[in-house]
Amino acid sequence: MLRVDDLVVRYGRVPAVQGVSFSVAEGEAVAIVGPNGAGKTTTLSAIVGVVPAAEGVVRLGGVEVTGWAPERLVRHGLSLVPEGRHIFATLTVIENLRLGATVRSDRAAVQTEIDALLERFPALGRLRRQSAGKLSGGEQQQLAIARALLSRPRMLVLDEPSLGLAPLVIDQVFELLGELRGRGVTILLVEQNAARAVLFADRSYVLRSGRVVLDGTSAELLGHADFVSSYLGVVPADAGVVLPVEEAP
Amino acid sequence: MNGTLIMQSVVDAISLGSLYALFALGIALIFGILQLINFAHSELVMVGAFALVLMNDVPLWLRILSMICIVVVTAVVMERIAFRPVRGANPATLLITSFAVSYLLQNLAILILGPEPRSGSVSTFLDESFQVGDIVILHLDVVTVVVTIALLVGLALFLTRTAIGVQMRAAAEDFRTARLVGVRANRVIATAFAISGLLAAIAALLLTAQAGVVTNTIGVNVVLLAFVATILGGMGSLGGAVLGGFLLGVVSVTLQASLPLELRSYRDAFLFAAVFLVLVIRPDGLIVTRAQRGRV
Amino acid sequence: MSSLVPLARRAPTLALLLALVAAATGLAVGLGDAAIDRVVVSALINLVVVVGIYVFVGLTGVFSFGHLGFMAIGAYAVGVLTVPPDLKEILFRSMPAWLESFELPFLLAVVAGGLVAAAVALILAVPLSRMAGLTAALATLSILITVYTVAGNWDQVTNGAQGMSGIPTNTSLGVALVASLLVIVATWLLQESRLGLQMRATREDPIAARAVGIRVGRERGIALVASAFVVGVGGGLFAQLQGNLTPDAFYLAPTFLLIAMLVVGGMTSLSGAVVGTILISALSEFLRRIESGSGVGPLDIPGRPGLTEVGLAVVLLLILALRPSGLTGGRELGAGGLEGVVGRARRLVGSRLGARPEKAP
Repeated sequence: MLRVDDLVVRYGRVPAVQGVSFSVAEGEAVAIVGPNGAGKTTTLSAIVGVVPAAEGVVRLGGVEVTGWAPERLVRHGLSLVPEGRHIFATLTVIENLRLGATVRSDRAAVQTEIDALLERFPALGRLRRQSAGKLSGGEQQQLAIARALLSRPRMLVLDEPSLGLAPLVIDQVFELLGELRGRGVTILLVEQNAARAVLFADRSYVLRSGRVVLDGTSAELLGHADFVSSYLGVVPADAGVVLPVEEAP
Repeated sequence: MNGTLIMQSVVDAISLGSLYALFALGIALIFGILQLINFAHSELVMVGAFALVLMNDVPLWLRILSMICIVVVTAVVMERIAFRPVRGANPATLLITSFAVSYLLQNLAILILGPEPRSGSVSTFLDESFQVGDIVILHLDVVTVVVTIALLVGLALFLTRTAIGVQMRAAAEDFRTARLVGVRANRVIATAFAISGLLAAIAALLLTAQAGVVTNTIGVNVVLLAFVATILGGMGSLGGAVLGGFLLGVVSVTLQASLPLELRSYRDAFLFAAVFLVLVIRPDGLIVTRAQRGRV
Repeated sequence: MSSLVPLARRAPTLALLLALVAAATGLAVGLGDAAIDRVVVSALINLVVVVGIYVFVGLTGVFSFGHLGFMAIGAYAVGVLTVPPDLKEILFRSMPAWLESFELPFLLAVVAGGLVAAAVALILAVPLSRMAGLTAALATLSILITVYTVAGNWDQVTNGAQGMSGIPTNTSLGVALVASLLVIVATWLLQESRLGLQMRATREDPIAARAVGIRVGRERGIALVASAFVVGVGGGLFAQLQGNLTPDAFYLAPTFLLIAMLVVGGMTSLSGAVVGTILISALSEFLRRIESGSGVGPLDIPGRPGLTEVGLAVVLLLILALRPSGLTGGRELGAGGLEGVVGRARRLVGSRLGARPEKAP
């Protein structure tokens, strides 16, 4: 579905991403993890078109989309939930959701989906006519994801979905992502919270100083001594996993 | 101060405030989305004024309609040619660009039309007035207030009820994220310029009706006053711009009425010194809305 | 002194600039007709003012639309100080007596004019030094308009909208040339000094500058006062060139012209200020000749008023769109030498011809 080859992104003369390659197959959930400043967000920004790529090729569904403007990519099926949520605080929840469907023309179907989403997320339903700025962090994240879903993306990309959220809320977010994966949505996720991300994803890539230093399935990574010690710190006790994951999350 | 003078001042302030609110909206609309203070807005007014005056023999409704079309087209073309290449540049560069466009158009008018002022009346109806007690009210004043209110209502409806209107508000709050949900940058920006063109056209109509004579600098004061109103009301917020416009109308009339005779001609100096002070104390303008934080 | 060595290494830039100005002046005067002398003096005064603006805008990175306000202050100050007292009595009906009798010789008056402008800047520096970006641009615009209104109404001192006349004209070609060369040297010394370096640090990264202990506000304030002095001196020279002053000479149109000179040349380098001024002055004169129908060489285009301004505006817009850092790229001439300029030109052409990725706003 998504294929990135030899991506290079520079800020002025400073290379932030130096030759990153990865892929996400249809229906897969892939995570990109790594320390702060590794170039994770920059990679996403370059894919989405917010930042120009100095070198490299990005393909979505086989079509080359390198350097496409974000609004064009959305119309091609890629939806990004940006870091820090970025919901429109001065607009109402409903307006935020409607904006998610900007690229769609089937008004009736959109309305049905919005109604369904408002039911699925009771908090959003309750506050539907309030300005989105009044929502809590977790609710805003729900709104951001709901908004991204309304464009009926082939692929959902999330930048640091757990950032700034309480652990319980993070659980809810990943539960939601799990549901989406179950429904066949392809997911790419960038996370500093390596444990959560790797446990959730089918495969992961580890980025460091703008390069991919490690990649593999969750099982492989969790069995990799270096990875566990450098990036995982303490694996959450209730994650239910120390060795290769067998059950579907 | 007697009651009549106060009432007359109130009437003047309302009418003047409406006009200034109109000017300010034109500027604030673009500023909200692009962080650009469009100095060339004054030349949109100039184009409208010249268009009106040069079409003297055409029936009024047609003159107004064509004038509006001409100004709106000019606004959209202006954006496409002069502002799109510098989109995303730092605010000072944007300001210089708009300044350059303004200078270009002002002098293009001289190049094409010659330096002599053109005169023309819009409608004798507007020049007439009626009286309520001792207070004189020009038909033009009433039209100004009515038209402004109509435009405000229309704009409010547009921004809340239409898809592109909501997109514009989203873009004004967070351009990048708006693009990430698929809002077409070019379309939203062109629409904003078209609307500001409409506002400029109406301003041109009202100014020409008031002045009767059009020169290439007819719009210059518009932009300066709009800029003051926007600062007073809070930059980037449309509600703030309108508020700023009315506030400016009140301040203007008050200064005019209360300044001692010798200082009256310094009114503009006081006004801009006040703007300077406001910028020192509150760089975002007097009324800061949530969307403003960290903007300037 | 160890600080002299790096100074000497950068000296070629200074020499280059001084040579450029002298050469351009000589060329224009030598090849041009009788009318060109006055144009050249005007251009040299503009150079003084533009370099003055650069001292603030270029070194601190804070944009100002208001510097012609300081020029006006310097100009009117010189006017008041040099119009002979008996003439003042006749021309200025409401000037207070102590001002009427005050008179200074030419050069002293010009320096005094600069000092008055600097004094006003000192007062404004306190609030202004805390501003940057759009706020500063708008605040300085307010200053410009305020000064304009005051100049047009303060009959006792400026003679209001009628303007001030009767100013003796002592600004000769020699004076203007020496003044501009001096200003270039002084500015170069400032920017290469430790103070100048600190100022430029605040331009590049105010937060980092603060982190190493540079007082950003103070640096900006100093730059403002210094630049006001230079611009005020330019104003004084201008007053003694024209012989009369009106507030319009310091309002939006000339502001545009001078900003164009700085931006086209490159806002962040002294070379930019110099190159921009020379080029725009030349272009402006060229267009003006076409406009008045006098023809230039083999070209014989019928004159049209407004052509000069339109032409200059178009040039500025092109630069803003295609090369916003100005012709010098904001760098000093001689840094990297000729190969640097050629290399950059080559890359510029190459990038225009090659594929352009879609830009994000």
